[in-house]
Amino acid sequence: MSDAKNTDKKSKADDAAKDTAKNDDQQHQNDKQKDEIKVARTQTDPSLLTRLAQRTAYRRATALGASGTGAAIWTVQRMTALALIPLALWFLVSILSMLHAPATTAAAWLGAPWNAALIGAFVLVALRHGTIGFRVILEDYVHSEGWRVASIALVYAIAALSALATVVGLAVLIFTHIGG
Amino acid sequence: MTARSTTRPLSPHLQHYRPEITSILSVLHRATGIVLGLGAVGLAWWITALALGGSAQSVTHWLLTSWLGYLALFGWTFALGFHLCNGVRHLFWDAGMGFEMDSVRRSGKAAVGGALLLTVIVWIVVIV
Amino acid sequence: MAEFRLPPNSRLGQGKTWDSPSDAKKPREFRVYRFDPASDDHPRMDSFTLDLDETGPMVLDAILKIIDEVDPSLALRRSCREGVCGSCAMNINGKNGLACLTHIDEQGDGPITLTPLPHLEIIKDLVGSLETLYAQYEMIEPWMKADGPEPERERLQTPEDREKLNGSYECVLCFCCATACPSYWWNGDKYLGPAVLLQAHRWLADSRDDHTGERLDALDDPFRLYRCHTIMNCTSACPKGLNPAKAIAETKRKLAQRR
Repeated sequence: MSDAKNTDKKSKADDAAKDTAKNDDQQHQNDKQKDEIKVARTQTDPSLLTRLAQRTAYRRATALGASGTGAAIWTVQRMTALALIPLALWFLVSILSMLHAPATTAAAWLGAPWNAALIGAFVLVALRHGTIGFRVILEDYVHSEGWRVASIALVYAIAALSALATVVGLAVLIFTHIGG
Repeated sequence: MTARSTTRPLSPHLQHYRPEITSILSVLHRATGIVLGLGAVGLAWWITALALGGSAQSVTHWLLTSWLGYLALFGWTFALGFHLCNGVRHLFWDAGMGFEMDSVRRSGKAAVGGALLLTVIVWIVVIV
Repeated sequence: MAEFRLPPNSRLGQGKTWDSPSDAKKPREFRVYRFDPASDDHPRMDSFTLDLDETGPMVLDAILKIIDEVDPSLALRRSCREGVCGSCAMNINGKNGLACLTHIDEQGDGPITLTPLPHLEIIKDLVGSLETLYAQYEMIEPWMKADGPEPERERLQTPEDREKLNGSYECVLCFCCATACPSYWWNGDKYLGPAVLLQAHRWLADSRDDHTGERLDALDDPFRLYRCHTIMNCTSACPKGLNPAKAIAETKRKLAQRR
């Protein structure tokens, strides 16, 4: 019984050894064939690889085509820039002294409807102008698609929150001012 | 990111390219833009704090009148002054004007001068 | 993130200082970027010292003297030696230019550093791969696309219309401008860069071409055209005195006008 088992084992081991030898041989054949193909490729048509590389480069350059949105974003950035010139000059001469004034003075000043309207316009237009700018910067440097989308979304969210806070805050200040 | 298909080295670029007044001011325009973006959010917060009143108001006032607050406001003034002047320079370019290298360099110097002038004037007004 | 540093395989290794003539009356050091694709070594900066009394006036003359008399294995592209072919474009002391149009004595004192055009894959020494740039050039279809019947003789154009091509047809496609542009460094796979955009504008400006609208459509993209931030490195570098930045601005204006 045990003898038979041993013989069985032995023959299995022999088969395995044979298989390995056969595999090695096959592997060797394959490698040789691959080398031959490689040599044949470069010998028969050396320009083929060059032409394929050019084709790849051309496809990479054309990619998915033009998005058709470049001019639109660019125009909004320039329009907001134009609007910001007078607003920024007004802001520089009038607001900066208010920033460190006593809070009650500042609140009263902001509660005057004209001041509130001008500073509201300045902040909202600046936020629109700034989101485009930040987006361009992020597109320039953040090349991973996930991080790019996430970071631009974060910028948009912060800008939207700031815009909302500005509008609500100014409304409160105006009503307090008129009421008081 | 450009997929590099080979192990070929990349030639030196940023490390090696000579900076000029044009490229330096371009970087400065971007940097001041980032400062102003943060400033706009800060401005929204300032308005909110004034509307909220109470401790939000007093903490904000304390921050703005600290030396750090003054430093930030001063930096912000210069950033606004430069981004404004250099932005006007950009708008002229967008209209197709001022593209000869001589005038590009001259307008760059003018933008820096204008920014410094604006900053000084505004801060004299603030102090007085 | 955009990679602001050089990848590890591109950082410079230890260079070689080549024997120089000991009796030189006007010695001048040239530091030259070397890369040998047949070895596993990093790129390196080699130092050559030439006698300027025995050398022609241009940077290209110095390089050819190095090849003739010191190291024949130094590789570069060159052909016309007079600024017409655009082959010998390289970075000279930190700024792009044509070696054949750059005077040695206008380079100040100290060693003259020669590196390949920036941010290209290097094939050998001063020879960078221009494959992507040529593909992008092909993409803007730089040939006349005229509708209507073939004329019997040449397509006519008024002298005023012909004048609109001045400043762009002179481009020799040396790519000094494109490889000087930081925006092209970071996004060169999608941004067309100043050289190709100058040529795109050349076909927009041609009164004999009937496909202006289509050409503008192909450019209306945040990356293809609008990565230009008017940094002005292109115009500053152009060895032919052309103004790619202005051509790009005019293209942006054309796109804004049709909105």
